[in-house]
Amino acid sequence: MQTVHSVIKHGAFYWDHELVPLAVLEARLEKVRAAIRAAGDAAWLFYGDARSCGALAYVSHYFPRLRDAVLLVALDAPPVLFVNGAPRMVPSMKPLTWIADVRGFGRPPKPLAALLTETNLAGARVGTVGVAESFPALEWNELGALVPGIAFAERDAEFAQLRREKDAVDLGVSAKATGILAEAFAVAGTLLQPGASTGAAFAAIERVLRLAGAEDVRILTGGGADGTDLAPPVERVLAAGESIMLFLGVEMQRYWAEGMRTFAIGAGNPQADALAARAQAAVDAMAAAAVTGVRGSVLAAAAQTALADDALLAAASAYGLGHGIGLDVHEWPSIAAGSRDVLTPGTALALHVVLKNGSAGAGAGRTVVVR
Amino acid sequence: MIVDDRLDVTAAEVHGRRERVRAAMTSERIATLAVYNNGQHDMTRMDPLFYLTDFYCIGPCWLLVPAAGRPVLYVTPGWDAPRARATVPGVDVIAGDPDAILRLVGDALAGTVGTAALSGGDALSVHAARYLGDITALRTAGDLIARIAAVKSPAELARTERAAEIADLGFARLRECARTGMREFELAAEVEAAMKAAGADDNFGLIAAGPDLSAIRSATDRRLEPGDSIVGEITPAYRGYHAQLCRTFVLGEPRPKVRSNFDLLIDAERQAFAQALPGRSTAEIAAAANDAISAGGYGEFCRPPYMRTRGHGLGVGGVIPDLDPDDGIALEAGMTFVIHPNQYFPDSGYLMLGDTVVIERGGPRPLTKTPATLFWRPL
Repeated sequence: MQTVHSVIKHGAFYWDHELVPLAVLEARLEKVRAAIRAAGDAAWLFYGDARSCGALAYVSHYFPRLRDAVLLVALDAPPVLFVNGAPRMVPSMKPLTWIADVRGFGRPPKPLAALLTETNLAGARVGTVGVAESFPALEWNELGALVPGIAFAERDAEFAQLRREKDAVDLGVSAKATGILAEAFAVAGTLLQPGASTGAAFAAIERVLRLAGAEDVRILTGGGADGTDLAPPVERVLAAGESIMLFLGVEMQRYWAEGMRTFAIGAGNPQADALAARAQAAVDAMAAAAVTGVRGSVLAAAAQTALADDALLAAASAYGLGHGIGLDVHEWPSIAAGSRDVLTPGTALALHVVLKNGSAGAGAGRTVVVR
Repeated sequence: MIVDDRLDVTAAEVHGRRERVRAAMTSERIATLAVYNNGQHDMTRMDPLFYLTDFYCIGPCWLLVPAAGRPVLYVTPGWDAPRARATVPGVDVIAGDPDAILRLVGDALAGTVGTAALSGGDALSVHAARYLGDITALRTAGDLIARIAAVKSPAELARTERAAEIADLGFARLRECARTGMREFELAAEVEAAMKAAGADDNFGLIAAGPDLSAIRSATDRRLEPGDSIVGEITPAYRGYHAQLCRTFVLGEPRPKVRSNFDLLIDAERQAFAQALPGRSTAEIAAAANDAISAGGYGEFCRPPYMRTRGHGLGVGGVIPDLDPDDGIALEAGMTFVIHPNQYFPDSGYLMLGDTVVIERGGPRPLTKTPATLFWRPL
C-alpha cells in the first residue's frame, strides 16, 4: 500500500548471501538475456529509484538507498551498474551486488550516453525496463539527444512476464519478510494498550523489524480517535474502548511484505471490532481463493461474497483489495473486480480490506503465496 | 510521527507563504504555478509542495497556484483525501488515482505554455510527463519558492530546534548502546527507535564503523570491533523539518592520530562558524573549514575525490545549496544550515563533526547541543 516514503532507506544495507545466493542472480541474468534476444534487442536498460527498484534488483540485487541507479545488460558484454553517488561512495555500494563493473554518477544522461556509445549500442535498439515509471523525463530527453541513433523500446511488459516465474529466492525471502512481520504484530499486541503513547509504541514495533534486518519499514494507522481512514501515525495516548488499525510494510533483502491488523485497546470498540472481523473474513476468503490459474477478479468476488454489503465493499475498494508484492510494493497481478490477471504459482499477494461504517474504521491484511 | 502541539504552523502562515509566492509570480509574469512532488522525500532537495501546504504527501501530488483564486491540491492515493482536506485549509482538494490526476493536471495546464511555470518538474517521470505535452516547453519556476523559504519563520525554527534536540538524543543513544560485536544496523535501529519515540517522523540516517573508513555510508551487517571509529550522520525530521548532527565515537581509547585529526575538525568548525554571518557568502564558510584542515597538512584531501562540501541548507529539505568553496550565496539572518567539516584523513580514516545552526545577527547559533568533542569509551 502506498505510504509515506522516507528520505532515505536507513535500515540494514547488505547482501545476505545465504538468502540470496549468487547462482540465482546469475541464472536471472541469463533469463533476462534470453528475453532480450527474444525481443530482438541488443540490450536492456533497467532503471530504479529508492521507491521502486524491483526490476533493477532482480538481476543486480542492488537497491538505491537514496535517489536512483541504472543497470545496462547487453547480450555480449558484462553488465554495468551505475549508482547515484560520488566515486568515493562506490566501494561501500559494491558489496550489495555481484555486478563487477559499478560506477558512480551524479546525473545519468552524460555517463549513460558515454556507456551506450562505449558498448557499441549507439545505433542499436535498446529495451527499457522501469524507465517510463520512474526515470526523470527531463533527464531522459537529455539522454535521447546525446545518443540520437539509439532506438529505445519499452520492455516493461516483457520483463513482467519473465518475473511471473518464481525462483527459490522469490519464495524464500518473501517468507522471511512475512515471518518478521508476524513477530512485529505480536509485539504490537503487547504494546498497544490503554495509556500507551503511540509514538513510543510504533517506534518499538519498528525497532523489532529493523533489528531483524529490515531495509525499510512503513507504518500507517487509523481507526479510533484517528478517524476512519489510514494515515501516517499521529502522536497521542491510546484510550480504553477504542480499536485501531495498524498497517505494516517491511522490506528485507529487497523483498516487501505487508500486513494489517486491528487492535482492541482495552475492551475495544465493539462496532470497530465487528468490522475488523468482517475484514478478516474477507481477507481469509481471498486467501482461500488464491490458487494457480484463477483470475484476480475471482479473489475480489470472494471478498465481495464474504462482505455481503455494497457499502462496505465500496469502502474497501477505495483502498483496493490487494496486489502482487515482492521486489516492488505494487506488482502484477491486480486483485480487483474485472482483473483478468491469471495467478501463477509462488506469486506473493498482499491482500487487504479496509472498512468503515459511520465513525468506526477497521482493517485486516496479510501477505500470502499463490498455491 | 506527527505531533499536534504548539509547533503547529498556522493556516495563516501557510496562506502567507502562498501569497508571497503569488507576489513573486506576478513580478515574473507567471499566471499559474504548478508545484509537483512525486511522493519521495529527499533531505537534500527542497520539497516546495510541503512548504506551500504543510502536507506530507504519500503519493505523487500537485498544487496548482493561480495568480488569483483558490489553489487546487491534487492528491494521490485517493484515500488520502480526508487527511489532505484536514491539513490544508484554503485550497480545493481533488483526489484520485495517479493517472486520473495526471489527466486532470494535464487538462488544467493545457494551453498555458509561456504563462505557467513548473516547480519540482525535475522529479516528473517519463510516464507522468506524457500527460503534460512537451514539458521542455514549460517554464521552470527555478528557485522562486526556495528564495522565499530560505529564511525560517519562528514556527519553522521551532520545528528545526525540536529536530535538533532529537538529533542530540539520537547520538546520546548511540554512545549508550554501541558495543563490540553489535552489527552496525542494530546500532542504527536503536538510535532510530529512540528518535522516533521522541517524535521524529523521519531520519536521514547514516551510521558506519571501522578503523579507517573512507567515507560515511549506510549501516551494514558488519560487527563493531575494538578501536572502531563510529561515525554518525544523524538527521531526524520533526514535522517535516530536518536538523543534522555529525559526530564520531570511538570504541576504546582513540589513537593519537584520531585525536589530533579530530582536533583539526574542532578548529575547522570554529573557523567556519566565524564566517557564518549575515552578508557573508556561504562559500566563505566552506573555505574557512578547508583552510583549517589544510593548515594541518591535509589540503589535498579537502578536494574531490575525497571531499566536496562543508554543509548545506536544512529545513524542508535542502533549501540552500551546498556549502561549496567555489560557489556561494549571501547569508541572511534566519537561514538554517548544517556546517560539517567532516573529513577523510589517510592516517586516521573518515571523521565527522557537524552541527545545525541558525544564522543570527551576531553569528551562528548552534541548535544541536552535543559538545564538539571526540567521544570514546574505554573497552
